[in-house]
Amino acid sequence: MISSFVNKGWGGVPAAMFLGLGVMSGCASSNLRAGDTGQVASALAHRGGVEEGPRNQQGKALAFLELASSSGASVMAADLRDGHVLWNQPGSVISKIMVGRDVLVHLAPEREQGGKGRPMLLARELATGDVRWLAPLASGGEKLVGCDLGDALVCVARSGDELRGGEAVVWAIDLANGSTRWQRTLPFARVAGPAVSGNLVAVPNRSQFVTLLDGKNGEELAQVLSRETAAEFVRAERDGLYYGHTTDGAFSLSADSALGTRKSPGYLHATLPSFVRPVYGPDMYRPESFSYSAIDRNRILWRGETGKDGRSHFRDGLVTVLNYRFFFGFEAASGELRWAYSQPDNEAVSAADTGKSLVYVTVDGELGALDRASGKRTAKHRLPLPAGALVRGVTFDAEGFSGTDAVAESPPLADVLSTMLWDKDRRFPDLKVFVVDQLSHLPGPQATSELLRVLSGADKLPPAAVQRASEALTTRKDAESADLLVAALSERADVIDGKKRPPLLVLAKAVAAAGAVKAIPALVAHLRRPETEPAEVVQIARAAVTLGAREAVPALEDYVALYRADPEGERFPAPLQAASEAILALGGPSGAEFLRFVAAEPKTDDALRSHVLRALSSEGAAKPTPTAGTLQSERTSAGSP
Amino acid sequence: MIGVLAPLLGGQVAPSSALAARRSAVAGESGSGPLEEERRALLGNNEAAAVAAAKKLGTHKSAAAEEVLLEVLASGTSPAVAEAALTALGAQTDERAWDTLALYAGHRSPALRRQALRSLAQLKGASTAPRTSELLVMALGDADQDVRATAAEALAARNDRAGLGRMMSLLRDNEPGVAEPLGALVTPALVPELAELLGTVNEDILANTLGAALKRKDLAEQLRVDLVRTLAKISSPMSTAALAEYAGSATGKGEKTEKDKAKKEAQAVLDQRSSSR
Repeated sequence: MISSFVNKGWGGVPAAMFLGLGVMSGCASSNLRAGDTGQVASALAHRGGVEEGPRNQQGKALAFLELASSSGASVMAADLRDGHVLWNQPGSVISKIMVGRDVLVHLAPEREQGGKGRPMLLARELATGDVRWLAPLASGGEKLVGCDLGDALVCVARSGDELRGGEAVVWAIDLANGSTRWQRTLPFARVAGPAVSGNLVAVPNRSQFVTLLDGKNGEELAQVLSRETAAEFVRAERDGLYYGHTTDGAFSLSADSALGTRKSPGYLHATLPSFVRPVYGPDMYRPESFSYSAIDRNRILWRGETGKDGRSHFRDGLVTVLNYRFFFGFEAASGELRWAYSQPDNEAVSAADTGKSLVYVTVDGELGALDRASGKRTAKHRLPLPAGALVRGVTFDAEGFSGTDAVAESPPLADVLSTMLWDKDRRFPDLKVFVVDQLSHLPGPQATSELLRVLSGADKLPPAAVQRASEALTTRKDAESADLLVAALSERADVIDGKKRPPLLVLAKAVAAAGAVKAIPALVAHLRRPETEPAEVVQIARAAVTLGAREAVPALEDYVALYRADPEGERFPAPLQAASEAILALGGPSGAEFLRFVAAEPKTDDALRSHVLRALSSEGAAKPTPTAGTLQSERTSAGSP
Repeated sequence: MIGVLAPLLGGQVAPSSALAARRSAVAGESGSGPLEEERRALLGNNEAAAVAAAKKLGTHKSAAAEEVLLEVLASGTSPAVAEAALTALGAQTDERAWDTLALYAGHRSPALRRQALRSLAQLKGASTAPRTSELLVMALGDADQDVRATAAEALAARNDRAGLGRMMSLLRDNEPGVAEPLGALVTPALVPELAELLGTVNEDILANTLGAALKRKDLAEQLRVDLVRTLAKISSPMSTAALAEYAGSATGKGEKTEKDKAKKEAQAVLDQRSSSR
């Protein structure tokens, strides 16, 4: 029973925390109907007005950082406008930092405060970082799930078997002194961390429900039912409350989404590329979600708004993504990339969408902002961290912050994508594949150059990225890429340099697709190299025909002459046949004459002879072999070298 | 042929369309020349007779014989006949053969590549020398070990040091075929570098290289002493053989002024090894 653990000393502030004067206590009522639109609409009216801008009473855009170093942990407050450090107070943080009007609250280890090591709630003065109060948490087997700070500070804990019965308690804490203002028990343990929006408290429970409580007294007001997806998180924004599934979208909470289905007008779901970890919110059933973690560094950042059609949309049709050191802006409806930003050197520990910009702090203390519409940087400050200190986590209170600098010129998208592609960090193969795909959509030689570099294999990119680059090159109509293709084709296998032969199958197709006649000499030079594979010879011949490249004929003739009597030709007839067809197509009368000679020669492979004769016959070119004199004159008239 | 060899040779352009012209000749000429019998045999279907004809032409040492061989190679033939023709061409000295030999130096058959390289190496004439050098240096990186060795031998035979750096790389990779050619070509400046390879490369291969270097007449006596001392640190039979060969070789003029110091040291090492058995 929850009352039993309350009596054992919940909060460690005996009785006063829960049962003291003025504390209201109650159990879950059963007269609420899950998904009742009227009850939800009525509950939402309790939320009250929410001010614009940052929550803190100074109205400044602030960042609150958890720092760690060998000399000790600390909490730092910094002004986003100029990177000025307001204060830096010693002490550990073992939860996310929650920010209110004049206070911030986080969990701290009791040991640092002279206790036995259990976590305690610690409130600090927002202006100075000084400790305002310290309140112990549960003492037995009860487990804190999470807290949130809005107009009130509300926490949720559970006990017993989460899947079979058990109980939970929701309680509000007075920000002035840490005492309990009210508490409410719930007859099940399957509860998640809360969200507080104005005077409304939302608590996900039993996977598909979100219970709405009055923030003033804990009274249950309504129950939301997420019918098709689990409700794993709740989130309070200035424009309202949201609930949703970690990876399957979010609902803007309204009467229309009291019974949430994917068809609800409040449902938000973005189309995103496969490399993106589509985390709309943390799984708040997991207590560890109440701490900073890797999820904060790899997730989507989004804001909602209600359109003229009454449906919820992602603000400006945009969803942004933080992927450690990289930020992206995507069209939410199509998944099309709008912009990309690469943060040099160190990854962002956390980022937030202020509605106007993305603010972030890196592990080494760079505080920055990006314009959310364009990805251009609008602020950059270096925080003076203590020696050796690293940023472990950040909470922003920066609603509406748009940066301070004039919007900086950002490098072209191709440059940014290139930086991402060649980044030495190999943890993200899916990202590399995505970048290759994006580059393949960009016109111009720079993108072609990057794709060719991928193809070279020198940088050991994931096989899927190489495959995508190959596919892109074979259809890429980049007329300016001839010099790049010549350079790529000039490579040759060499055991001393460790060089591999160029990927001729792809390059031959790329030459043809790009119309790069200039690259034909470099391409056909491979006909004279021992390592060129039969299938590659076929592609080279086809590329020459596609481009009508008569200059390829001498090399093709060399190839046919060299191997026409080679027994190997019996095993691989296709290259000789393709080369012969190309000679016939491109070589004019002298080419046909060469083929007649090949067909007449006794040492010529029989299969090749038959093929050549058929080809000559279909072209109407089969006639007796001429004398040397006529052949030479035809060559001259055809312009053969 | 213009353009085909340009990327192959780093911008050098092959100067002739000799191959196409020779094919024309094969296709059209009726026999009446002095070597017509050999020519017919080469073009005929009897492989043994063709090989014999190629060998015979190789002994002619005439421009006409060379032309017949080039015609057959340019128009294509079986690998066996091609190898015989390439071998026969090696005895010729005319630069006209360059295009044809270069073509076969890129043949997918390693045996034909090797023979083409050997014949190329024998070509004399200033106009093709740079291209030949470049081609041989490139062939040091061939996928086939025997072709690499042939290229190294060809460079050594031409006293061509253009590929010295690449040969050192091959030695570091324990390439046996490069050992003696490298020893024959190594410059005095590279001798200390060779000594530093002791312990990092195969000792037999290194001993072969050092032994070949010791045979050189153009090295200063002190360098020879260094080579002997490095060989002395190698205990393999190959080292002993190299020292013995050197110690037993005739003394050169330059060595006498240094009182055969290197040879004396070589002999001392050999004596010590002999007594310790």
